[in-house]
Amino acid sequence: MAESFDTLYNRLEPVLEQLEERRRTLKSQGVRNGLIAAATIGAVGLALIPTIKTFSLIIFVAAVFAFLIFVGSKSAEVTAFYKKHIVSQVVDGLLPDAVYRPEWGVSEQLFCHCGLFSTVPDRYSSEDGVIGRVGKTDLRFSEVHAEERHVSVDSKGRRREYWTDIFNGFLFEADFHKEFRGHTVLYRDALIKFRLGERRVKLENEAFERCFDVYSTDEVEARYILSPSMMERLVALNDRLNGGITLSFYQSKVYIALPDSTNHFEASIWKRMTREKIEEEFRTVHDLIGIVDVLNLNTRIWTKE
Amino acid sequence: MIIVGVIIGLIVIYAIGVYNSLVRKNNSVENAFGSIDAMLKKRFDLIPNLVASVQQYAKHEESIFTNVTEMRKKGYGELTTEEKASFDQQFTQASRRFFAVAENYPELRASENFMQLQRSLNEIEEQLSAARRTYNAHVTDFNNRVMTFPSSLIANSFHFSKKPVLAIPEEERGNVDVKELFRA
Repeated sequence: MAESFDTLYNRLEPVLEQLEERRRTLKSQGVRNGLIAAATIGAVGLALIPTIKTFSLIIFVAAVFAFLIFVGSKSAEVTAFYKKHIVSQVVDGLLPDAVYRPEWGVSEQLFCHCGLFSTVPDRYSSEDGVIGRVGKTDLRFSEVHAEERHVSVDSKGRRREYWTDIFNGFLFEADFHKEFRGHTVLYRDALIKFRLGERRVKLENEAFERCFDVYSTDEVEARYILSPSMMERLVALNDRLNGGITLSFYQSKVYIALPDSTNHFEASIWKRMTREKIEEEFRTVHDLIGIVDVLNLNTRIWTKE
Repeated sequence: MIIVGVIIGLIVIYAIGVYNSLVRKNNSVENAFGSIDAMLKKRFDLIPNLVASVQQYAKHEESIFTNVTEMRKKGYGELTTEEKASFDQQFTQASRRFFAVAENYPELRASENFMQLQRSLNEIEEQLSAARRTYNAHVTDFNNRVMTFPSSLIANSFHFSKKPVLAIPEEERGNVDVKELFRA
C-alpha cells in the first residue's frame, strides 16, 4: 500500500536533519580542504614562475580546479547519504518490496534493443534504478543519459568534438499484459509520416494520432495491443507525464522513454534539502510506478498470467 | 505538339500509377480479410473445449452449442462465406449464453479449464476485433482512392467499386468490463 507524501515526510524528518548536519560538516571540510589545496597550488606556482604572466592564469585555473575537486568529493558523500537513506525510503513508501539501487541502471544493450532509438550511443550512463512489482506486473526503470559524438572540421582544418543527446531521462520497462511476437513502436507525431524500413499503422483515435505515429512489424498485432481503450489510456498517460513520451512494445514488454533533463535523486552540498524537492522526487517515482495503473497492466483476462 | 505529347504522357503515367495503387489496395483489403478469417478459425477450434466444459459441469446446458457443434462437423476450410458469417453470429450468441449460464454452476466457474477458456476467448475476441479494425482501415483507404477525384475516373474505368466496412460490434468499441468477466 503506497504511503501519502505527508506521512512519508513526517517519517523522513529525523533523517533529513541528519542529512543537513552531515551536509554542513562536509561542506566545511570540503571548503577548507579545497582552499588549502588551492592556496598550496597558488603559492608553489607563484614561487616557481613569478615572472611569466601566461602561467599566472594557468595557476589560477589549476587552483580553482583543485578547489572544486575537493568540494566535489564531499558533495558526492552528501548525495550518497541522500540516496541511501532518503530516496530509498521514498521508493519503499510508494512501492514496498521494490529495490532502489543508485548505482544500477538500464543497460546499454537494453537501450539499443528496445527499438526506441535508432542511434547507437558513443557515451552511455545510467543510474538510480528501481526494480519492483506492482500487483502482477514486473517493472524497472532508471535514469539514462545517452549521447552521440560528432566531429566537425573548420575551414582551417581544425577538428572540434562535440556531443549531442540521443536521450536524457527515464527509461521504463514493464511486463505487458498481452502476449505478442512483433515489434510496435509509438514515436512522437511527426509532419512526415515515413520512416525507412518501417511500416506505419494509422489508427482511428484522433487524439491518439495527434500524439503518436505508430509503426509496426504486424499491423493486426499493433491494433491488438492498441485497443480503443489502450489508446485512450496512452493519451491520458501522455498528458499526465507532460507529453514527450515514446513507447515500444517488444517481446511482450512495454518500454517507455520519458525525456527529462533534470538529474534526479541528487543532493547539493551548498543548499539545504527542501520539502519541495523531496515532494518533487516523490511525484516522479509515483508517476513512474503509476504507469502500471494508468495502462491497466494488471488486468490479466488474457492468456498471459 | 511536344507539349501535348508530354501532357498525354503524364496522364498515362498517372493513370498507370493510380491503377497499380488500386490493385495494391484491393489486395491489401483481401489480405486483411484473411486475418479475420484466421481469427475466426481460432475461435472455431475452441468449440471442442467449450463443449467439453459444458458436458463436464453443466450437462443440462449442452444445447447451447448444438448449432455451432453441427458446423464443427465440417472442417473450417469447407465452410462457405455465408456459413462462416453465420458461424460468427451463432458462436457469439452461444459464448454469451455459456458465460451467462456459468453463473449458475460454481464448479464450472471455479474450474481451471473454465478460467483458461475465458482467457483464450477474451484473447481471440480482441484479436478478432483488431483484425476487423485492420480490415476497415484498409477498406477506408481503398474507398478513399476509389471515390476521390481524379482517381475516381480511373477506378470507374476499371470497375473498382466502393467496399462496405464491417460493423464493429458495440461491445468491441467499449472497454472490457473486468469486474463483469471475473465476477465471483
